[in-house]
Amino acid sequence: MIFNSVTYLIFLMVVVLLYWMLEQRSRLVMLFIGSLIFYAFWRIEFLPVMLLSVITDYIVALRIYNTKEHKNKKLLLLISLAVNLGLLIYFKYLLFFANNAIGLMNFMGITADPLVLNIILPLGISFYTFQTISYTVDVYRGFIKPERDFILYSCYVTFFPQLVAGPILRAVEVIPQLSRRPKFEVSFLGIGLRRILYGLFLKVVLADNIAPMVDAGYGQPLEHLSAIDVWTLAFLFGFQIYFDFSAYSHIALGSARLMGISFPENFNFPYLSVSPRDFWKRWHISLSSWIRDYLYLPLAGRQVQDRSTGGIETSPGTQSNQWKLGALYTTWAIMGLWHGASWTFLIWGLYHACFIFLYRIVTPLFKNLSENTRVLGGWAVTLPVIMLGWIPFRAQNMSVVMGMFSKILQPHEYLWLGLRENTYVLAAFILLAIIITYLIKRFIVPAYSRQPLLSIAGESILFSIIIGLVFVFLRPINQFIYFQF
Amino acid sequence: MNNTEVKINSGQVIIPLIVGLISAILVMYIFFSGEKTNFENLALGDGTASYYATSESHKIHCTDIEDAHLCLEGHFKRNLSDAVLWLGNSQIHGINKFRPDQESAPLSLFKMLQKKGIDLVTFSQPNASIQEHYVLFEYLKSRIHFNVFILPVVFDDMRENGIRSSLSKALHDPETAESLKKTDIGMRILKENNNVNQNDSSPDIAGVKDTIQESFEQTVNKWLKDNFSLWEIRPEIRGKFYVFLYKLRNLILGIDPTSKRHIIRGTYDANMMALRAMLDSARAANIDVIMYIAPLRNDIEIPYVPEQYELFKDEVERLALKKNTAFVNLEDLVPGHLWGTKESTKLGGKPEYDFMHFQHEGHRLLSNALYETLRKEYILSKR
Repeated sequence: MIFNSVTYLIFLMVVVLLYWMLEQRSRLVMLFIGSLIFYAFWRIEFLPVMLLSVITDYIVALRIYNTKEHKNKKLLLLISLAVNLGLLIYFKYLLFFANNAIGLMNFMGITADPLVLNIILPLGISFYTFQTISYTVDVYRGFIKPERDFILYSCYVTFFPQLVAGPILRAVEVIPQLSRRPKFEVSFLGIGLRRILYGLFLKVVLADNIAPMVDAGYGQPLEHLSAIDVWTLAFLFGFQIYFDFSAYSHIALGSARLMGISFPENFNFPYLSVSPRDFWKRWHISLSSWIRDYLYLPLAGRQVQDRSTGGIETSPGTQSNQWKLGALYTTWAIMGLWHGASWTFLIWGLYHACFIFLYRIVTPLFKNLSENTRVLGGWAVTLPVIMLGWIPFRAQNMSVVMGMFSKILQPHEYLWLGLRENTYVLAAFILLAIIITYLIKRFIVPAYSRQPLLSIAGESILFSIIIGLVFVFLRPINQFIYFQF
Repeated sequence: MNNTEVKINSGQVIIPLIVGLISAILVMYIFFSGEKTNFENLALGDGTASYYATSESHKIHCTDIEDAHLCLEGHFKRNLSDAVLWLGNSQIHGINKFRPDQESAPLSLFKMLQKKGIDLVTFSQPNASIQEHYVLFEYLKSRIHFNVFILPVVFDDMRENGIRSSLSKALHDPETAESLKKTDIGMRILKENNNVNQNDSSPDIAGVKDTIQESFEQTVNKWLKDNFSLWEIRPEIRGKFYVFLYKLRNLILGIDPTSKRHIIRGTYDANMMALRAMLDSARAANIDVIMYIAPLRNDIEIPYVPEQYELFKDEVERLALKKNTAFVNLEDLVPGHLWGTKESTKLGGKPEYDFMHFQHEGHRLLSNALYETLRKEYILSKR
């Protein structure tokens, strides 16, 4: 089911109503069934795939907990990884790896035909497999005890607000909240509805209206794009994907909040980051935290954490510098490929690895600068570098990526414009709007919140605009971008 | 997050939502539930009216394939052996300072040609791109027999891209698609619009296409439309919102009809490719073509970069020569006093110059000029 639809709002209303009406056990059963219905509304045939991952990790986690021998625990963990990664590899990477291998064979003179298979990517597979992996690994590490109640455990994995595009949550963050029946509070509804409205606004008013401009720009032959156009499209897609994905997170958080369940934040003004490290603490925080705890820190030889907050962190670790460098690039290559089976995503991941690596090298050179200069300078460098990184993320293939990057290096390509004027106006306007929104949130909102009447008046105006626009624009004309991952 | 929430008073959280909801509904009811807006007329401006001519209760001037059958009916009923097809933009259906006793250029030309036993069918859409003309040309070519094709080449239209949804349905017509497949630009048009399904009743739910949700969403939307007038007028409100943003942009950036419009290289090239493809297709079907540079207001500075506009005219003329096509430059045909003004394109602004639509007298001059060209060059000279 897609969030930006009337169907979802009706579904959510029914589920929330039942949630508060039913007793604990029936409530959990209802949530589980509701989540399966939510998923089946997309494609019912992929329900068994998801349930395979759910059931495997339920059984394996219990076995790991009950097994005394470390060797057997490890074997069980490998079974879980094999099933989850096997599903991911089959549905997401098989064609990519096979056809690249065949391409290489052909290049070496060994004739082989390309693999032709009609494999459809099950919705949310990258998210729920990462979630079940984290559950089993946490049990293996002894961070948590396995959940014996199958329904409760299944609700954690399949809980519909976060099922298809995250946030990727840890068992310790969700299961205790699901197992205890919270006392109903009006503020749950108020805060939940606010988050849902913010999310719908970002998706249906902003992201969906930017999309046609981005599509038109990226659809242009390269020779019709100037260097300024490439920059503009990089920024505009950066805004589109931010609005689109953070919208999903807002709606997920809001939907859960309606049931009294709190999810950690997944975004925090990422385009105001002052360094790559800062960016990955603000963008898709639950994924970067997952990568941190289940990939990067173990590879770098450092103690892992058991929370989906904090994002990517650097690590002194116990390993050599070369090892840590290898860990950095491996982590980011996997991070890139997690988004999609394509060389462009791999390049996107490695681009970020290079940026982080360079940041580590040059940071000490600026340590004598004032705090303000470092913050401003850091933002002025980080923003364009992050935005340029969206080029491989959005471009159709590697030749487009190379073509667009080469444009920005050629001075004569800065002398003309190839897009409609509105495209530049919109990109500039959104950047300005993000900065103003941040300043309002940082300086004006706290001052207002001390005066309840002013605060209510101001928010009433804000919500009348948001509700009006969401009402007018609410229609599922586009899926969320992260559905394809 | 939890800490902040604990401090929040429930009333403070919920009241703005309730007040916001009520005021949003009230505002929409008060400002948007009245008379339906004709966005085409809104785009034309207050001083200009759309005029799609009819003759003997049959339309002779249509918009696109959605009403094409109305024009084709009349064409088949008149059953004349020779016919002229005229495609264009709003210049040929928009009459500035319109009065009910006046008529548009297509109707005047139609009457003149009828006297010679020749039929005329006209199609025009606001801001039509050459690519759209190409699609419509191929669609009509397979349905009616015409000997001559009149095509205005407008600099503004070279900045337009894409195929509007009411025309993209033609891409699912096998004969049209087959013709388009013969050219690079035709292939590109087909590829870029391949997700538009002819049977899609609503592009509004494209995001849930082929899912179980699709039919549910359709049913719910229909029910909401049938039972809540506000739900039904959502497209209208969206349209007005876009117009508001457009006017706000113009106000903030100081844009008006006299502001210079630059060439958008990619779009320009795509339209030129479509123009070449259309000329080749006409020639292959033994259809004579008359291309004309559309009349342009010449009593004030033109809203184009002069060098770019000159290059454009030159390129069209050279193309006409290369393809052995008749070409007339009518840019100075309509004197300045026959043009007018239109409602401001800025929020709260004064009326502005209209560079696209002229008065009835201008329409008469245009139909006469085209009749003269037809007389000199084509089928009329054979009679």
